Amino acid sequence: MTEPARLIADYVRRLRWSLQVIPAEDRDSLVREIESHLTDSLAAGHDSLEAAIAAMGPPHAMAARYIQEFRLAGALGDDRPAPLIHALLIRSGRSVAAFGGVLAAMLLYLFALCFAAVAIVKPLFPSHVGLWSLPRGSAFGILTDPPAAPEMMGVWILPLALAGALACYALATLVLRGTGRHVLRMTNP
Amino acid sequence: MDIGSWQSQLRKGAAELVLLSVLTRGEAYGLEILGRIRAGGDLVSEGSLYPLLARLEKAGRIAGRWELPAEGGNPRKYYSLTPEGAALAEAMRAAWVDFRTTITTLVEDQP
Repeated sequence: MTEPARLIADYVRRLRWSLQVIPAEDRDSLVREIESHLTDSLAAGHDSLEAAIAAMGPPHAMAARYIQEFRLAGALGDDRPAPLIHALLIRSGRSVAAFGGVLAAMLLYLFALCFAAVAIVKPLFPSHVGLWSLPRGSAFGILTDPPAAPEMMGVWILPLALAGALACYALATLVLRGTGRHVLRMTNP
Repeated sequence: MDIGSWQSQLRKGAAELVLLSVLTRGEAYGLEILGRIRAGGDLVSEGSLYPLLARLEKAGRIAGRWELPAEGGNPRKYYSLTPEGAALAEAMRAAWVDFRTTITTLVEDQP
């Protein structure tokens, strides 16, 4: 590898490394574009390559500007559900995927809430929360009028309900983010 | 007051308008866009151009497509305005003309 080619490869490698928070598909495209620009600059002469690199600044500074602009476009994964739901609801009238995604995520958040309620209420009213096997099927959750049949889970319902709440919450957020990316790709082909 | 930082704020504010205006002249890739902008003055550098292109593409104002030049060599990403981007460019241009008139009246026409 010649010295300028190594300069380019090095810059591109560091840039890719600093762009970890950008989704892989976008990151590849951004990095390839910079590589293309630097290669074109080199074709115009070594000075031109150095000027281009100087204008871009160090790879981490360049990456910081990319990340800032992605935030502005609202295109970065955001873990807070409210803005995601809001953004998708706006689009849900136009996109079946957005509507389905929001619906699925809302249901999952509801499940998470129920699991959390089970975990919170169990220590307060131990006899009203649990899993019962009844002749007409089993009952799980919080019952105002608990059946006479023996409760089957005891305190184990607490960690299980907490795990269930976390799992539903995480899954709902994943669904939202996945839908968000899908919808973005539809609107920006 | 630091005139340099104020100037850089001015440039930053104008960059989006300049970029969209340059693309109304037709599809171009990064280096070409930079060339068109530099032909009119030194407003945008490599360091701010590419991140700005990425945001405008994400926001659906411009669309990018990769192409391998027929004569061989580097793949290039060509950008063009989407209908939304073209409408925005027009609206920004009109707002700019208003703004310029106001500033000229207030700042330059001092006796």
